[in-house]
Amino acid sequence: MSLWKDFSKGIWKENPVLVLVLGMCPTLAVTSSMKNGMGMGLATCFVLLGSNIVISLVRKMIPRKVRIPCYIVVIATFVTLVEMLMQAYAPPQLNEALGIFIPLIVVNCIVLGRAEAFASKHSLPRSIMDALGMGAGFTLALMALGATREFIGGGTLFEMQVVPNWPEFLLMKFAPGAFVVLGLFLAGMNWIGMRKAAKEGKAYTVPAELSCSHCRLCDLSEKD
Amino acid sequence: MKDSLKLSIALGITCALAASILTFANSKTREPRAEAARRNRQQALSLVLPAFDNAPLDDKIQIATETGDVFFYLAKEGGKLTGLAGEGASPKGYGGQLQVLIGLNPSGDIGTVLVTGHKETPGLGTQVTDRKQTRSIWSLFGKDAEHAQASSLPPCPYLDQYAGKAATATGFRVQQDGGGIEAISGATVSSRAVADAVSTVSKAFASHRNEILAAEK
Repeated sequence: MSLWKDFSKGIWKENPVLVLVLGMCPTLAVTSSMKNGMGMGLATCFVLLGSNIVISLVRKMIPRKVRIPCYIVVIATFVTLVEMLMQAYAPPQLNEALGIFIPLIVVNCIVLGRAEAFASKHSLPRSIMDALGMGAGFTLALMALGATREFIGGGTLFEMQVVPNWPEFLLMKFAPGAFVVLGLFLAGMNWIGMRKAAKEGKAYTVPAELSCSHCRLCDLSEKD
Repeated sequence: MKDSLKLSIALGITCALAASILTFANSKTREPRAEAARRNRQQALSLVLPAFDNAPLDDKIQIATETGDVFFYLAKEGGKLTGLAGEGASPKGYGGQLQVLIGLNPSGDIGTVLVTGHKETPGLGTQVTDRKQTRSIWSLFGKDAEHAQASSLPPCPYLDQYAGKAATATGFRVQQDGGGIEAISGATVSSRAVADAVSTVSKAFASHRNEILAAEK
């Protein structure tokens, strides 16, 4: 039950894009189409799984004070490894489709965020479920953003024309469109949260995950 | 002091482990990666070259330029040169190196331009590097062969601008830089990098034309 919760929280309750608002750089840049969103999501999911596994396994060996640089080394190693393996063994179509996303993952703070906030504190099975859930949530959020932008921008979905003769709306295809759509999605998430809170008769509060007090990422002076 | 020594050692061990894993993986995957790259190049060559009965991958000429080496792969049929493909790169891409492969006929007119290697941003820079085709979703349900004839060489408005132009020593520039190539908005840096890479090949061909064509014999 707890394992299922570790997985499912990434999809809705703690969705990395729509609730935690992490990884904005790839989110805004690549969601110009559904296909790009899916590619970025899957590639990230893969690296996230690898880094969560490694960090969960070595979490007791790494001294607290140097854990952040160690995590960064682990993540960068994993990304490079994935890139080399894909170039060598993956089918050319897969490498062509996902290859360009891999260098972008190094700068994706979801991977470091999950390493610090989850994998460094929890057991291996729970970290695996967390990585899969966060990866799935990231992929779904990027696909939803990509689908919205692609459809409004050119009437296509997955690079297929859905509505013929759709007037091209260039704004959606560029960065401003990404900000507008992301803003609307975040507003939607808040609205749903407020309605739910009102039904339960409670005041709506920002999810605890959104305030940075729970994260110790910058607190390096902490006693170990 | 003792503490910082301990921390340095821990971090050092982590880095050393990471480095050795990467070194090992690099040496293990070097050959498969080279093999995959060769296959990709072979496939790209068959897209930009006319029919040939030799092996263009082995029939190549290397020309050193200021901006890196340019390779020309020769396509022959019955011993006669039918076309050639120039491969060059530009370091000016948004994500670094950008490599192009350009089909040329023996008189030096550019045919198909392909971007064979790049690290541009998906959705922005890839507008000028990728060839893709938008099909109607309804064609998936239709029984007609519309979706079966997905071309192996879909159009790319940016790259297709070069087709038919002669490879000259002046090269190509985008309009912002006073040239005649129309850059794609949102992908100006990538547009410039492609123009730069095409120029490298174009200049190499123009200045070594006789040398390259003499290799026919």
